[in-house]
Amino acid sequence: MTAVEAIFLWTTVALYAATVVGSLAGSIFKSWRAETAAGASFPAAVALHLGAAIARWIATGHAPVVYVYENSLAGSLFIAAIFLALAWKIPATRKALPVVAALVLLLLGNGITSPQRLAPLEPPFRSGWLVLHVTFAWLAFGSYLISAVIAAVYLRGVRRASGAAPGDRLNLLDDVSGRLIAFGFAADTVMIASGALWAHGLWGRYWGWDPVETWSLVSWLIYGVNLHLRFTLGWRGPRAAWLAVLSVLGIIITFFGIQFVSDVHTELL
Amino acid sequence: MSSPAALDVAAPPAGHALGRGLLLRPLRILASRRTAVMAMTLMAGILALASLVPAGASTTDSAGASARVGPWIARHLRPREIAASPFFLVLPGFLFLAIAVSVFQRVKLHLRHIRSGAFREMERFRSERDLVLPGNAARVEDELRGTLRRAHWRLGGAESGVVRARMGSAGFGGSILFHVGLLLLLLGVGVSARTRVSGEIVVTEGFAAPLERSSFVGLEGAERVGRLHGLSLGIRDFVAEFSRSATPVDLSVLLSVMRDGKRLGEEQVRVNQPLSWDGFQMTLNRYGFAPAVVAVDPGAGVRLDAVGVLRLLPPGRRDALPLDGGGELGVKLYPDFAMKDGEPGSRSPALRNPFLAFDWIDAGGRGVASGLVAAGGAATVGGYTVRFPAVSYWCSFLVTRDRGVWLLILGSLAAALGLALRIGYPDRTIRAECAPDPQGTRLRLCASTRFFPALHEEWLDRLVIRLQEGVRRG
Repeated sequence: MTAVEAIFLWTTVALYAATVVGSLAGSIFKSWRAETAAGASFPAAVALHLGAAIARWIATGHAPVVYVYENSLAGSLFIAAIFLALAWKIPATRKALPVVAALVLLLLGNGITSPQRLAPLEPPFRSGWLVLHVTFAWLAFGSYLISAVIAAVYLRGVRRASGAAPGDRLNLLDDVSGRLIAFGFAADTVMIASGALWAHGLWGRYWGWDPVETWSLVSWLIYGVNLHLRFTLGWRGPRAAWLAVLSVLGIIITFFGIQFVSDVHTELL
Repeated sequence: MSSPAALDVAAPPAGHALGRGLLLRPLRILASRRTAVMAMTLMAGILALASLVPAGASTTDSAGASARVGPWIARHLRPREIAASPFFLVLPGFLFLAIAVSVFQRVKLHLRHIRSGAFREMERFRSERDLVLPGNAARVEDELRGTLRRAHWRLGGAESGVVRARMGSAGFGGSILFHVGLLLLLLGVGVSARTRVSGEIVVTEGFAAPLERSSFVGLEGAERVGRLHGLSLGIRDFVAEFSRSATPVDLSVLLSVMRDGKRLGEEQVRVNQPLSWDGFQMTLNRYGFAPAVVAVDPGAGVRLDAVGVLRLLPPGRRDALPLDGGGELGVKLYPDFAMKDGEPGSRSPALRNPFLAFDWIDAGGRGVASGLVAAGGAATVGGYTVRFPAVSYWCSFLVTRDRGVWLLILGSLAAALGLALRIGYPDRTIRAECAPDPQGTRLRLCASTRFFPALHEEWLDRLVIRLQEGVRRG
C-alpha cells in the first residue's frame, strides 16, 4: 500500500481500538470520560477510514472492492458508517458501540493480514455492475450485522431487567433491529439481482449454484423468513432478537466460509 | 405505550368470503404465511446442507472426497443437482402458488375495501396522546390536517371535530409489487430451465468455427441450436494487455459471424462485453496460444502440420499434439521467453518473445528428441525437425440463450422497487378528536401502526411537537 494509505489505515486502527477500550472502560468502570472519549474517537476513526479507502482508490485507479484486503477495507467502512448514522439518529443504539467497533476492527484486521498488493482491475471486474453489486452487498451485510449486535444488546438488557417487561428504550432497540433487517433485505435483493445480471454478461448464465451464490440465496431466504416472522406473524421481543442474532451466521458463512472453497466466484475474490 | 390490537394476521380477517369446505381448504393453506415461512426455511436448510457436500467430490480421484462421501451423495446432493431435482422443485413451485394466491386475495380484499368507502381503523399497535393546545378546535383541527397532509398522509372522513388519516397505500402497493416481482423471478427460472441453450466453442485465429452441435463443448439444450446451423464464428486481432505486475487488464478480440465465408457482422468483444446475435449471446470466456507447428521425422516424413490449441498451463505441464503414424509431440509455449536459473521460463504472459519447447515421443513411448525453437524458426535434434512458423491465439466463447433473463430483469426491478415502497411507507392510521377545553382545545390522538411500535411512539412524540409549534406560530 502507499505511505498515505498506511498512515490513514494505522491511525484508523488505533482509533477503533481506542473506541473499543474506551467503551468497555466506560461501561465496566462507569467512567463518563472514557465513554465520551470513545464516542469522539469513533467518528474520527470513520473519517480516517474513509481517507484510507480514498487513498487506496487513487493508488489503484479503481474502487477498493476486489480481493480480501480491499473487500475488508470497504466492508468495515460500510459497517462503521451505517452504525455512525444510526447512533447519531437514535442515541439508544450507542450501547452497541463497543461491539460494533470490535467487529469493524476484526474485519479490518482480517484484511490487513491478507496481501495488499496494488493491482489493477482484472477484466472480469471491469464492469459497471461491480460497484453496484459490492455497495449493496455491504449495505445488506452491514445492516444485518448491526441488527444482530443491537438484538444482542436488547437481549442483554432484557436479561438485566430480570423478567420485568422491557422498557421503552429496549423496545426501541427491538424495532431498530427489525428495521435494519428490512433495509438489509432490500439491499440484499438488489445485490443478488445485480450479481445475477452481471454474471449473465460475464459467464452467459445468471445463476450457477457456486458456493457464494448458494449461500447468498440461503441468507436471503433466512432473512425473508425473519421478515415474515416479524411483520406478518408478529414475532417481537426476545425470540425475534434471538432470530436476528442467529440469522447472521448465514452472512458470516457467505463472507468468510467461502474463502475455504474454490470456485469461479471465489477465484475472482 | 403501544398495545397490540387483537388481530391474528395469520388467519383471514373476519367477514372474508373464503368460506369453508374441502375445496377452499387448500387455498387457505396456500395463502397462509406460516406455510410460506416453512417452505422458505426448508429451501434454505436443504441448500445449506447441499453446499457442504465437497466440491470435486464427483471426480474419480479415489484419494479425494468421493472416497469418503460416497459417489451417489457426491453426484446427487450438490446444490446444482438438488435444485434440478423434482423433489426440491416442489418447494419453489409451492411458493409460486402460495405467493400468487396470497397476492390475489390481498388485492381482492383491498379493492373490496376501497369500493366500500370505509376508512380502515386501527392497525396492530396503538398509541394514544391526550393534550391541550391553545386556540379553538377549528384552528387545531386545521393545523393537524395541514401537518398530516405535508407528511403525505391521506386524509379521510368529513366528520366535524374528528380527523382521520391513513398512510401506507404506497406501502401496500409496494408489498404487492415485491411479491409480483418474486412471481416473475420464479417464472423466469422456469422459462430458463425449459429454454436455455448453453455451450462453449473454441475459435482459433485464421479458422472459422462452424456453429454445429459437434463443435460445442458441454452443450445444454442441443435441440435448440438449430437457428445457428450454417453460421460460423471467426476471430482476429486478439489483444491481451497486462499491467507491469503481469496482471491481465484487458482482453479483447474482433468476433465475426459468418455464413458461407461471408461476414454478416463483426464486433469487438471483451470480457463483460458479449456479442448478441439473433437472441444468442457470445461471451468471451477463455483464451490461449495457438502455435503453428510442423514436425518432420528423420525420413523427411511430415508427421504434424497443424495449429495447436494449447491450454494455459502451470509450469512443468505440457500439451500433447498427436503425430501421424503414432507418437505425440509434447509442447509448451513460453510467450516471453527467458532463462531463469538455468531453466526455460517466461518473463510475462504477453506474447513478446515466443519460444516453443518440445518433446518428441515416438509410438513406443520413448522420448527421441527435445528442444527449444523460437517463433519463425526451426530446430533439428537427432534428425527430428520441429518448425514453429508463427503463433496466434484461440478464444473460447460461451454461446448462450436464455429467454428467462428478461423475466429476471423485470422481476428484480419490481422486487427492489416494491421493497423500497414497503419500507418507506409503513401502514399507519390516525384518529384525532378535537373538543373545546377551558384552556383551548383538548386533542385526543390515537395513532396505530402495523410495524415498529417503539419507533412509532417516537414518531408520534415528534408529531405532537410539530403540532404544538404550528399552533403556537398560528
